[in-house]
Amino acid sequence: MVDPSSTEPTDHQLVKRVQRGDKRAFDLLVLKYQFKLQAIVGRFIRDVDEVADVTQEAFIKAYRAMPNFRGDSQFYTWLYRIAVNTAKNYLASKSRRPATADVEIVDAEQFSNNDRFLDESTPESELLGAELQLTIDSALSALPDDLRTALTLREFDGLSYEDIAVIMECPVGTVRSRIFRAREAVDQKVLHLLDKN
Amino acid sequence: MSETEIPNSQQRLAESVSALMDAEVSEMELHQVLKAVDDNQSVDDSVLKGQSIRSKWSRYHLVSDSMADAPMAYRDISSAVSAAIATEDTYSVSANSSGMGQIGRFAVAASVAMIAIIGVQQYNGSMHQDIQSIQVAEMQVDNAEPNRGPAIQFPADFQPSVQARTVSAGGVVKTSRSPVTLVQVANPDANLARNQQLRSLLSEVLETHVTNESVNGIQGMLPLARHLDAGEGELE
Repeated sequence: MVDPSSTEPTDHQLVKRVQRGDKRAFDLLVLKYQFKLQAIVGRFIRDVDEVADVTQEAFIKAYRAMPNFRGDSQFYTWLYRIAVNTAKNYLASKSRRPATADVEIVDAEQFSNNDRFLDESTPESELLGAELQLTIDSALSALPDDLRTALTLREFDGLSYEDIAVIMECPVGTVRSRIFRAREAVDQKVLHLLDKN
Repeated sequence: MSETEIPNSQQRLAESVSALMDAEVSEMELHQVLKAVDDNQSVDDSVLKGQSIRSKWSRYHLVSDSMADAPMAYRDISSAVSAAIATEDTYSVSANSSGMGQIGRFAVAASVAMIAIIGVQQYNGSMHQDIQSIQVAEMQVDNAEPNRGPAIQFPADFQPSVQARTVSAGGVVKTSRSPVTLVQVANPDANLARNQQLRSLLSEVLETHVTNESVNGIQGMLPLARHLDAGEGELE
């Protein structure tokens, strides 16, 4: 699995863009982290609608605070802290205790998707999640070896294109192309699934 | 829509999106992706939206997260956040504008100063070449020191004033007005030879002209008179 820190250069690029006034870059950050952030907020708040609202508020707070982000910590950690504080403030305003035990900021470093989003997720969402997993597994199995290897080395082992190129004994450009083609093949199946639902 | 139906440009962009996920893109590619995201936001057609760069970015991450063994409930809040952010000020530009503005103004001032210096240098250079080509030197002559050598001089009371503006490092503008005597410097021997050449050439031209004019012109005698007049002048 790719550690969030391994994608930090992408975040750094996007953050710099946002700080220069490019809202589109922030949009990409929202698209990238919306589910992870909802999962974090979901540890405090049980209601799905409230989770969405609080997560949205956290993103807006993050956008407003973006000029203050100096890059001393990872963007994801910083975002995580904002989400946790927003969730806590929300509960305080409602005079409710957090749904689960306090989540410490340091948890952000270790946080992964193994923490399931919303323990009390709806049957529909569970079904969709299961279907999604099945679709991805099936799509990965159907990939040619070279594509599957490239994507696996990237997604599971977090290797750089350069390292993958050395392992697969091919140019970096080929690695890039293989990973893209693999993602694209999986994406077509996922798109079909999401359209169906 | 199958993979082959996607235009090449979209394929390239999608590949850039994939590489961006892995932090393997240049600034130029990032710029292209962001531009595509912006363009795609206005797409209404659901099929096209599904193939949009924005959607791909979102789904690529969804797959990436899911590959990490975590089926997650899917709740897309990106559009709501995007709409909320759209109403926000692009604070960063204004927040940095004071600092950037000063830097910008300094840069402009420095550029203007640099252009002025280069321009003056080049102008002076070309002036210098021009002056050399006509064998005329502009020099300030100490009035106490008698002129030596120059063949041709302007009258003694001819003192054109030259207004020069100097720029100091402290930014104080000074204007000096000093009398400058222009002296044409030429080699006397060369001048004499050139005068003789010119006179002989002029005589040839006039003679040719007179010959033709006396035959063809209705006032054939006048050129001759001018020729004679020139000849008399020469004798003087």
